[in-house]
Amino acid sequence: MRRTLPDGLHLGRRDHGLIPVIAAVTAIATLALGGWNAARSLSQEWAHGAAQQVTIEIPNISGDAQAVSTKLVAVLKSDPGIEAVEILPDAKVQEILRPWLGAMQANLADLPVILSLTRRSNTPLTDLPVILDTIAPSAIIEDNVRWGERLMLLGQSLQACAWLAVILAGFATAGVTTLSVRMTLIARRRTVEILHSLGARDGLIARRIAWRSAVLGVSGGLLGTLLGGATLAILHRLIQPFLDQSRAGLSIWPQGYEEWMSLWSGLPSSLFHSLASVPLLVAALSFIVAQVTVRLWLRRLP
Amino acid sequence: MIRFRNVTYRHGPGQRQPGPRSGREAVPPVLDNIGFSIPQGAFYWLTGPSGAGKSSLLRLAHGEVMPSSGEMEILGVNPARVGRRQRAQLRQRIGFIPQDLRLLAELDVLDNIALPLRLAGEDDTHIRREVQSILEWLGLGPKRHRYPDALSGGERQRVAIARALVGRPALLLADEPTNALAEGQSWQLIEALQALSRSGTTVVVATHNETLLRALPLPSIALSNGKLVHPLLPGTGADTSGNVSASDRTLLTR
Repeated sequence: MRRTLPDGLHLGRRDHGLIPVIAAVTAIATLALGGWNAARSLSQEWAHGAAQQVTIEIPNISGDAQAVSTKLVAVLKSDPGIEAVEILPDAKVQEILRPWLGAMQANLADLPVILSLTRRSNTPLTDLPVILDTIAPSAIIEDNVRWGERLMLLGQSLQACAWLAVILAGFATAGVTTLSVRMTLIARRRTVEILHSLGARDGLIARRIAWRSAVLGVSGGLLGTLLGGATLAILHRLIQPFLDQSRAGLSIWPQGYEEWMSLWSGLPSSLFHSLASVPLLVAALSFIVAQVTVRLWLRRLP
Repeated sequence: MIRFRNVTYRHGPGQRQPGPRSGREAVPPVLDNIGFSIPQGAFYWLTGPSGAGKSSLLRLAHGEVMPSSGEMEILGVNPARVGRRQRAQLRQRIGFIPQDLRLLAELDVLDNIALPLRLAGEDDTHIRREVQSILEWLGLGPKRHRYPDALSGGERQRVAIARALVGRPALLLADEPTNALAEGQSWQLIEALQALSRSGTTVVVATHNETLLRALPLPSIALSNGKLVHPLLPGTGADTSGNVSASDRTLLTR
């Protein structure tokens, strides 16, 4: 005799139609998770990188730019809000200005002195305009904070949008599961009523149907995650040359078995872990939604 | 024991206690102001023509539907006053042979019969022993792996009987259980139900089989148009008010 409870509530072939629907919704959620991960990385990059950078240009009008900049560097280095300050070497300035100066670049005597400054995060902002008014009144500040804040806001908005997409996908999964459970209850109404009349508790019937939904959820979730995850892995490979110049020659499509396999391991670990948990979350969501739906439906029986 | 006190039942959802503006008062009741009492271990016929309300009374006693008004007590439990879990537990103590048999088409004979024991959480060894025994008794052994669709009407009836009896219920409700059975099998079943009653199970059998009723003049509840038409057989003790005298109880419990 079988150990499992044969009660007419097992999975049927018709129930498998739910798997591709859940897979599609999960794939969308997976892509949204990828988008969230990318937005978060960019936001962090902006918060800890570009937004903390300030460029100061000291025009060499009276020929004392070099002396003024040396004095300014000494003052700024003693400031607790400044992490690093350096005078850009002539070669670097020359490289920056090459597109504008062209053949005239040899004569650097009149060029401004450029200071690159990095703010220390989590410390009060240094009042740079006051310092510059005192030491170098003609200096011009290129303060990245102004657009850095905007970029951070943009990054946070993108993250919020990505989360919204994930939550909407969750709602869609819950909706599809509810619909599927209700269809199951309609199709197997007679079976459920018979089990109920034989003394089956609501919890038992709900648990049996919820497990079916969880199995369908985990199957659809796995399929969708593989689909969405593979897309993200390919996208990640495509942007590799932009992140790491040594990988400039990387082909668009992986070559050979090992490269295909390494596609997944190349994903950021936080994203990889998020993706791994998606099928389980879909299964848990399906289980809970099915339990609630069945228990509510059973209320119509005495 | 079963006790009905002024029980009225109307079909449809929300039967219980219709409100003053619900309009349900206009719907004629399926059972109207029924009161009786059946002691533990008694065997009762439930008689009446088609549409008299026999099946509805059995469904009420099984806890499948709730009365629109009045009180009932089944095996010491008022189904309307307990939670869903207790109602499920009550149904597990009742064996029910409905007219439509209610076999699960997806399960074979063996699994259909074993279902009440599985739902009650019995272990496999016990299930195997009980199912085996009842299969042999009802002559269903060779058909154990057949599905209901592949059985004759009489065989399906026997599977439903086996399923109702396998859990050794405290109360057995049977709605025309001999309908699809041959005469010999009918007598065999009634004898078995009487033996069950002697062992302490309360048995209520709805029937309009005159031959059976004449051959076995046991206490009966007679219904007509949803009303109790006579207070049972003389000396059986139960009456329409639901009271049972001590002397009558002795007679009934044999």
